[in-house]
Amino acid sequence: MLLETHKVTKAFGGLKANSEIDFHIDEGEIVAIIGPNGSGKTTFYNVITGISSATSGQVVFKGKDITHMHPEKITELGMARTFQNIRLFGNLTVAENIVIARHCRRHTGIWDAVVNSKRQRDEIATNEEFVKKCLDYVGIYDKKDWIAKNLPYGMQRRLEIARVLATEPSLILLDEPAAGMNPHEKDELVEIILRLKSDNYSIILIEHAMRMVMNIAERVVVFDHGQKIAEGKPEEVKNDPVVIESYLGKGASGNGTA
Amino acid sequence: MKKLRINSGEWLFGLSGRVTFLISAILILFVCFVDKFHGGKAWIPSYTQHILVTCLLSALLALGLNFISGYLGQTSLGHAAFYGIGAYTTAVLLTYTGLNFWLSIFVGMLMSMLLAIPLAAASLRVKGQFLVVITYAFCEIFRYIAINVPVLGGTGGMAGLKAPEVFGVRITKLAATNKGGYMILLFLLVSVAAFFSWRVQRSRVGYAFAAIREDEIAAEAMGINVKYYKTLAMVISAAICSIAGSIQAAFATMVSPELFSSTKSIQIFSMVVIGGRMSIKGMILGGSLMTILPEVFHSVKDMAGLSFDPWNILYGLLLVVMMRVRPQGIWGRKEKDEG
Ligand SMILES: Nc1ncnc2c1ncn2[C@@H]1O[C@H](COP(=O)(O)OP(=O)(O)OP(=O)(O)O)[C@@H](O)[C@H]1O
Ligand SMILES: [Mg+2]
Repeated sequence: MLLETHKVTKAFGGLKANSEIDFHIDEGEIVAIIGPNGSGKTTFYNVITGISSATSGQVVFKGKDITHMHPEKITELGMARTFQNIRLFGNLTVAENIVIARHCRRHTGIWDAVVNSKRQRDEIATNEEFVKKCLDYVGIYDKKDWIAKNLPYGMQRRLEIARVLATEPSLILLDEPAAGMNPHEKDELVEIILRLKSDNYSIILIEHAMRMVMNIAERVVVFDHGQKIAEGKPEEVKNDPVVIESYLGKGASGNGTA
Repeated sequence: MKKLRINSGEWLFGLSGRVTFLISAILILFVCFVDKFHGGKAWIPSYTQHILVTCLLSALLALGLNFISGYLGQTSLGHAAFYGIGAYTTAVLLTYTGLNFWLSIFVGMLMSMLLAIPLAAASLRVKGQFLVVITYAFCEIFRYIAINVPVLGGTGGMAGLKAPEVFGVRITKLAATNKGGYMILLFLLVSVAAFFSWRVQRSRVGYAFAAIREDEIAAEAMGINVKYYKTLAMVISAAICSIAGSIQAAFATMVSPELFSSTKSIQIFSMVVIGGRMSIKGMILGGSLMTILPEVFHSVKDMAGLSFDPWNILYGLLLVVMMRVRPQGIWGRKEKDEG
């Protein structure tokens, strides 16, 4: 078991954005979380990545209780995420975005910088390696000197994935990575996600678009009103009356985007 | 990392840091010593030298604040606090303990760095106008302490500080005028601070600052300890401004509560903004510009017999125009569009 949550609850005042959620993902698995708008999917990510901490319940990652751990420590442990509303370091270059993501794997300090120590020079070399490797992975190495915010939308989403890879994660959390993409970009994204899977990353994927989820997820978890209402193989979930009522019923085609 | 953008155009006319340093060193030495080698009227009047010393002090302060207002992108209108703390620490130590001036610089730095920690802690969760208020209030506290604690000399401050010695020679006797020694000392300090900033800004620490400036949540998610790096930037910034304060105390042979004035804080901030946040040469040139311009307009006032100082009006105007027309500062790097 790579990640496990026990009765995780997150309350904002009276509103329970997450209510007693039991969730788990194994090594190498792809699990999708689906659910209508405002059902608490992003909140769940915020809680497990430490950006906001759970009101009650427990989050265990690689056997460690991370419920109240700081986000940077959780990243160091090997969990990394993308954001629903892209959060790149917009005024920096694409390559610099990757270099920053290397932070959690390096240990140089001010002194190394000032005397340009061996550690510092090693770091610069490996950074360059990672810039190449991670940007190649998502196919935007040729854009490495671009200012990140000038990239087309689809590439910004891909840069977020590259940046996640640069932290050398074992668990990747994607928050609606296909939002706002055209069909062609979506296909490319699916390709990247499948490649991640074959490279043995574990992935949690939040996605509105049912179709995409059905294609890549091995297991689907359904949220509604902060609760986990269903879980199972994609086909099972798709035909689950509870899900159809609460999710597909409202979302009509199931193709909606945020 | 050569191809990364932060690196380029940092020094004058595209020269390397080393060449810029050598050329400036020669110029400074020339200014300090020419008048020793000819008998006539001084080429470089004492007044000019005074302004040069002030330019260098300003540059040092701007380089200090650059860590907060440049690299972290946070507004501080309280950095005169560290300038004052450095100056007062030196003054107190020289007056009451007879401690060596050079050591007093380090004690001042230590004081400033320690006091920077609570300021950083108080600023962690706030932004914008709240941060301005907190930093302003922080500085005001020290102004009141300076005014109200008797051993600090009250409103009059402390006077009669002795000039420091370099290998047994008074710093005021080093060069052609009593200001030359300070000029050389400050030139070296500005160079060190510039070199330090330059090395740090392209390092892991510098990129952590950049990430926090761009997006704190994303920075955290990328494994950066935001609290730690914000505090670190404040501590570095405080240390550099404190050094400037210690030198100022010795140079003026006195300290007064005016060192902690909000005018000073605003001046330091405007040097950073006008010079161009994050640009090292911007700090040096911005600091100099904001020192020379007031003097120029002051003499305009004297010559034209004006009843007011035109600088007071222009200063405000300059800030407004800069913010509108060139928010990145004169030498700040544009967020260029390569797309
Ligand atoms: N910081 C916050 N303070 C108060 N309420 C919040 C906060 N963050 C989220 N919420 C509320 O919690 C609920 C769940 O929001 P969340 O963003 O997790 O939904 P989501 O499933 O990601 O929706 P979407 O599909 O639109 O992204 C919503 O009602 C939202 O308004
Ligand atoms: Mg969401």
